[in-house]
Amino acid sequence: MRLLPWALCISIAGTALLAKPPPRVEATLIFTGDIRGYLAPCGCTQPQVGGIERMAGVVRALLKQRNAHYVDLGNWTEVGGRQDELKAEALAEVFAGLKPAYLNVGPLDARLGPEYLRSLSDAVGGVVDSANLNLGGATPGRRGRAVGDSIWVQGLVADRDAERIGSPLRSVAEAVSPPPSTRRQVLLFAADLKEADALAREFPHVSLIVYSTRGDPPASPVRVGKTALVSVGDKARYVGKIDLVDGEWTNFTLIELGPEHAHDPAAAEAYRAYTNRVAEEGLLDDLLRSKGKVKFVGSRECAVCHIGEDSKWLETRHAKALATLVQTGNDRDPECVGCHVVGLNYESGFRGAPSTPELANVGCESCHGPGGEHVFDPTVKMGVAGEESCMTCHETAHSPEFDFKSYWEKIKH
Amino acid sequence: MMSMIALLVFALTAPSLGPLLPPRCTPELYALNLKVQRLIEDGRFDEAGQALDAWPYGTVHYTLGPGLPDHAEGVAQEAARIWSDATGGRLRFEPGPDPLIRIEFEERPTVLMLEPEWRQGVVFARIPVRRYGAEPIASRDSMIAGIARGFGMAAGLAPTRSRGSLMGIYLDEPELGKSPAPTSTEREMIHRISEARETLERAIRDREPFTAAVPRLSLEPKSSDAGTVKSGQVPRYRFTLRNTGNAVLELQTQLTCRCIFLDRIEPIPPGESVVITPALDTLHLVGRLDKRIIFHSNDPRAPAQELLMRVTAVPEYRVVPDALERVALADEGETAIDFYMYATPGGLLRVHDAVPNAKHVTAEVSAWNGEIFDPLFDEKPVRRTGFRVRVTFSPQFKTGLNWVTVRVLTDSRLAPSHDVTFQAQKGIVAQPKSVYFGGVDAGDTAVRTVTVSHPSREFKILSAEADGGPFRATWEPSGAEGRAYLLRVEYLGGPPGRLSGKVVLKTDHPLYPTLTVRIGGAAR
Repeated sequence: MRLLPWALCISIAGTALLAKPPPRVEATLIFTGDIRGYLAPCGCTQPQVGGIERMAGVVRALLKQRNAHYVDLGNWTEVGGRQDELKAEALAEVFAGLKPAYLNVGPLDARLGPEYLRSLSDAVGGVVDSANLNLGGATPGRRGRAVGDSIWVQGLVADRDAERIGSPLRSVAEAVSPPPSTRRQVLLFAADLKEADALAREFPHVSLIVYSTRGDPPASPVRVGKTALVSVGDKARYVGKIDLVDGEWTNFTLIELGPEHAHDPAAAEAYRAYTNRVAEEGLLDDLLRSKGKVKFVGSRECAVCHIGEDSKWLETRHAKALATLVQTGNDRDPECVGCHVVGLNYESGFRGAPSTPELANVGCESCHGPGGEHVFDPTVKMGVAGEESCMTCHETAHSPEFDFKSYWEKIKH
Repeated sequence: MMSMIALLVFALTAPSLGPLLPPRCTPELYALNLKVQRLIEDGRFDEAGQALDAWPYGTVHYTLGPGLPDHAEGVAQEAARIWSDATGGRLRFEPGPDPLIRIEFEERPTVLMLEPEWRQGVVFARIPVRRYGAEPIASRDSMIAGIARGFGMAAGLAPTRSRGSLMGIYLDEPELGKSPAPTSTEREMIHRISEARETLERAIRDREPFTAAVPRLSLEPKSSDAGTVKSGQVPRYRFTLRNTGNAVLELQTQLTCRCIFLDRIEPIPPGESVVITPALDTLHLVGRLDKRIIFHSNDPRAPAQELLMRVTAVPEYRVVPDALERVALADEGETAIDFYMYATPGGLLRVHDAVPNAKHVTAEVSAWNGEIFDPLFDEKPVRRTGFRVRVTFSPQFKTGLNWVTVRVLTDSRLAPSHDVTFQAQKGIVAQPKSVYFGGVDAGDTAVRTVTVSHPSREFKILSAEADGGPFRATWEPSGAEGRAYLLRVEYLGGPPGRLSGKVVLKTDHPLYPTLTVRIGGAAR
């Protein structure tokens, strides 16, 4: 009888040993990419989606998991200009706070130049890299980085982009060699699905490729042989997460950055500093304005004859559009102001609230076109406003819940 | 009108059918409804009654899981009250044994997704108590909303992304400072779900068989490719939605892009089909586009199906090179660069003017014919006809690294203007042009680097003096050609406040003897 408890223990232990162990998450890869200069959601309607403040909040929360690592695919900014430099520096500050394992260089970032990128890399602990691009510095062109215990990450740009940037180090084909251990190879490839697909076929040993998409990303990984291809869309609207479990990439999740996600305080501070720099450097004043016959006159001029329409307009949010930017501190940001005033991109358009107050806010001419000729000759017809004129500002990213019929009712006159 | 008549005819002539659920119920409820109906159809009323027990009705039990905050019971009771009100007392949520809903509180949530989920026959509703360490964020209302959402999922309503509704997301934002409440659509759905439950119960009690109501959505084709269009054109697609089931098919559409235009789709009677012709606006879009329409229907076997609309949008004209890299300007004399514009196949283009945004820069447009390589279309240079835009920098153009934009005006209706932006480098420049420390913890030190270079000739840095704060500047050659140096600027720590200073470099270059690099940031 005395042996019975021991026998039971041995039996239970044996059962436990034979039972299948629970799956072990070897690593979690958290990834962003193609932010393309969308540091903050823009627009006057809710819900505003995306933005680096939410993005950083979610990444920081996810990084609390064991073996979680954060990487970015690249393409921090989009157009090229002083404002994009300021954006890149703000992003570098946000990234630095998230302690990323690897920040790839996208073809759009490359327009900043290798020297600039090197400075950004220094600001984030030297993790801005690319396996086929020479950014200079003490260790130019590392082939890849060991991340955690299980992953080997390589960033890549397409060969044509490396050529264009002017500092190719080696071709993609030369760069994608098997990792120097049994680690799972992950490629951050700033190119589209077609190119990522071709890469996966050429290098079937690669286990995961993060590629670039415009718009919404596919909700599930694309499988090419044993390689999983995942993307996170553009404009900082999603954070991607995928687990490495028993050697396989699984549990792919796209977290849409909706208003339910709190803002990261450090990222919010970096964004505030960015908007201050945009204002201080006077980027709104340097904006390229088209010359020509286009002449804006302002809504007060229209009200001389169109009294009823003016009364209705004054009740709408259009009449207070610039004030919403003042509240958020974006009233000197050329990327925001255009949709909150009249004719920003023209010589005769809005310059600033003190000098052209009559052109502040979304006025008559925002929808009907310039009225310079009409005020002198009423037989010259103004443009007809409709869905098309609304969509220039109320597009998906800025006004996700825009519905022409219901919105039209609010401003109809 | 025709569909209304078809619905009326169907209603008058249809066999006795079981109850229909509305679109956007949970798959679990659709499956349960169908299962009970099939059993009733087969006359297996006792089994149908047993299966119906799984349908949340009357008193439904929940349990409060670990990590219970002080006021958890109160907020759960409030969520139960909202549901009781919404269902006219048909659904009462109470704590009890064999719970259908498990409410768990997460003190330090790592994932901020608030979606409730079914796991092995139980709805798990996860309620964040805090976010970000010790920062309390969850208001009483937001916790009530999270629990009410979990109750709703058990009752058969799928979560949405609407704000402030019973099944939508709920936020602690001032503009939503109200308790969650059902929308009119949600009220209608709740009513229909309750009615469906009562219809099934009555059929079982009276042992009256009926035919199971099964709307079936069939999409033909499931994807369509409009081929290649010019950016700005609006291709139309044609899909057939067929109801191959025996009950009325109701649909709600979800568009994945504001660029899709689709009219409202009326309910489709059994055996009928509807042809839809959605349009896709490609304005400002370039490249291969995959846009989807998701149909949420009351088809119990596939409550969500999607159509794929594909198109490749090509810009009406091309600018080559499409991204000008940095232009190195001569120290003395003029510098000119060219770019070329041509209409894409099948198009016509006329360039009126080109306007630069900087002083001492001119742009001249002329007709052009020659060989050019466009990476978007070509594998080797191709002879084309179009326009050349020559941008000329006069000797007075300012020193430094400056962004220049040239706006080209065309007669294109879809894209009347196009901006070409590039950097012009003249003389010795710093990249980045200023040292930005961002936010630095007061007392900490920080380092930033800047590359100082000249595009074409060697020079030496003679000194680097940091001024205006606790900064130190050093430099070292970068590369072997003597045309670039790495400037290292250190912040040596100090009290909180704005960081503002400069580094003045002295060089041996006769035209550029000094270079000033500004310093900015904040010590917090």
